Amino acid sequence: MTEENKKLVRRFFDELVNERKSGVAEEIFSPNFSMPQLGLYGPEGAKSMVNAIWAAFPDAWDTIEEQVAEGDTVMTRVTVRGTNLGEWQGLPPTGKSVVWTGVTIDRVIDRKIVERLVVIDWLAVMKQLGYSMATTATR
Amino acid sequence: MTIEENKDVVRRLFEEVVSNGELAVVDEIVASDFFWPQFGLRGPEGVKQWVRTFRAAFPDVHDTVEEQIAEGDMVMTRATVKGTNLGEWYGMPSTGKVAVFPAVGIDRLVDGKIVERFAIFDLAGVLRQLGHEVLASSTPTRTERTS
Repeated sequence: MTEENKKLVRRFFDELVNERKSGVAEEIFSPNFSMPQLGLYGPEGAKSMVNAIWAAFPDAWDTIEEQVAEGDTVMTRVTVRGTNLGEWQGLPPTGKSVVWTGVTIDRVIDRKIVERLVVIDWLAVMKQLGYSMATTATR
Repeated sequence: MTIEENKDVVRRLFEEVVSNGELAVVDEIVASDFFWPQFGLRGPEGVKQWVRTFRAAFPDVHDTVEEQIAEGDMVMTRATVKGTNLGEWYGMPSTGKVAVFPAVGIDRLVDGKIVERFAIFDLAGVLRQLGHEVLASSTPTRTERTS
């Protein structure tokens, strides 16, 4: 079962993200899917997450580096490559190519993803785009 | 070593080493040929160096292990990290603010010791919590918003 769960999550990266097959979202994500972190729900929520990345990085490409699965949970580490040709987090496009790492933790029930948590080192993305963090904080 | 034993070893890194600052434990759970490609750190000393740096910035850091899954020689650990920023961090002055954030560690073990690891958290999100802002260094017409 864990191998099947890994394959299901792999389809998200291979088919939905890399092959741009939006239509497979319903096959991969449960109607009850939730991503509380970003307030996204259902297959539509999953698609909107992908759409946001595509808008900023139209050529985004995910490479799965490794997966660890146990029970109903699948962890996937991916390398994402893309060129920043659209607005990202309110920042104008830079035209720069960036590489970053993302980790997803997916819960799979009855062959559908029901819950997802994502961790991305966004600072690495910002630095590659030429941004930095300003020390505006005051004690 | 079973996957449950491997999970316990990694749990000690989060709870005893990071949360409690028991650096001597590193010698028990990290292999002498350990390598951390992300930071180019090697051996138990490399891990101690990383812990010291983090604890200097967040002396009261506390990791709560939320979940672990394991398969073969790999262990994935998701933790909630909480700490007060009382020291310089990534070149930023301390803010005195508390940050709470999720972190994921991916550890590979051989004979009950960690030989390789990968760790990730949203550093930009943490810096925002501490009150720092994204700076558009190339253009002054930034329209940054926090998410």
